[in-house]
Amino acid sequence: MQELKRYYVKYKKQLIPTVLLSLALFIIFRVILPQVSSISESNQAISDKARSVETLKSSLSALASLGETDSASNLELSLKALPASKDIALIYSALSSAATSSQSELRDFSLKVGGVYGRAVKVSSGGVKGVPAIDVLARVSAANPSNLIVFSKELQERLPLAEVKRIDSNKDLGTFEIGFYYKTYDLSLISRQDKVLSLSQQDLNLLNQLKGWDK
Amino acid sequence: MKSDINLVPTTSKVKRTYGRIFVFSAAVFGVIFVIALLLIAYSFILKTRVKGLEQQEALLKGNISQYAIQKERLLVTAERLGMIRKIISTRKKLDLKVASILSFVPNEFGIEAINADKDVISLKLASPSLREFDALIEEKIPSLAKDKALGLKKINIASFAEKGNNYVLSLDFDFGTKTKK
Repeated sequence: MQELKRYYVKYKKQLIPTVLLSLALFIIFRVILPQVSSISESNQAISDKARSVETLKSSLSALASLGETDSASNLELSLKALPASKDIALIYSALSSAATSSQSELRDFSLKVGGVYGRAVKVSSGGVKGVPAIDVLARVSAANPSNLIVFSKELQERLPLAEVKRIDSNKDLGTFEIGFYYKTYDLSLISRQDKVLSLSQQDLNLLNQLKGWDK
Repeated sequence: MKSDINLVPTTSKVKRTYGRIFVFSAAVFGVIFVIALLLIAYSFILKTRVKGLEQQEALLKGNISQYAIQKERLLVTAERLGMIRKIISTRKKLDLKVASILSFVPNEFGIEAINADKDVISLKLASPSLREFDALIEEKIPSLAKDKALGLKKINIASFAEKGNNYVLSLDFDFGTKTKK
């Protein structure tokens, strides 16, 4: 102990600055640098959270202003236009309605329902990428061959949405190859979204157009 | 005794040097220490702010959950409408193409057959009068060919034959969408 005290007294002038500078270095590496990193992370977190809060506020505002009846009827109409599954009743209804409007008669129709399991389940006959379609073959008769073309036009202004891919007519009898669109959706995936926007004017105009086609 | 030994300046010089080193190291330590304190305080303030925003986020999510049904409806509707828009804009309007071609065909012709897909529209037209065919081939078909909006690439006469009391002309209207192999 006496020895240490003697060394301390002898080398005090060198020891104290060395200790102070060592402590300064220690503070730089163990306090300042980690704090700088932490501050950078916090700033990023603040930026992300602030953005998230703004998104949630606008979503809440959109939901609060939404009418109960409107939302239900809009959903019903959009699902009628593009069903979540192959709806044979809707398809038949569209074909009959188009035939009536075009002064023609629906003789018969057949459809390719698709595979039940395995590879056959993959249906990708739709003309639009990512949207499958069920193929329907319809035979229609009309007094005037041009009415068969009108049938084709009328059908494409009906719900569910359809695309006439091929027309083969011989005098008053026509065979139509039609694709009726459908698309499944994952409700749990959709519900996880935080961003909810009100329907735009473009969306509302489209809904009006679909209402006109809901015959 | 030597008279040129002078210890006084050496001792005070060393003392001054050590003094400067001490002051310098103390100053450096002091500045570093203050900076560290300020950074710790600032970091604490930011973390408090993050916590506040997280609470606000949780509160908003809680409020939104009360509108779960409306949220689902709105999201599904928006998703459907997006796809519907894509379908309507990209589906081939075969009926319009056929109707456009038929609009050039005079009423004197009977339409025997129509075969249409996205690449080719074939028409079989019948008439008892050869003069009508002249007018169709000389006037109507060139007018049709000039209509750029239709997107016609080629018009072929596939066949021309007599059938009973009528003459039957088969025309192919090629839109050239098929890629050649």
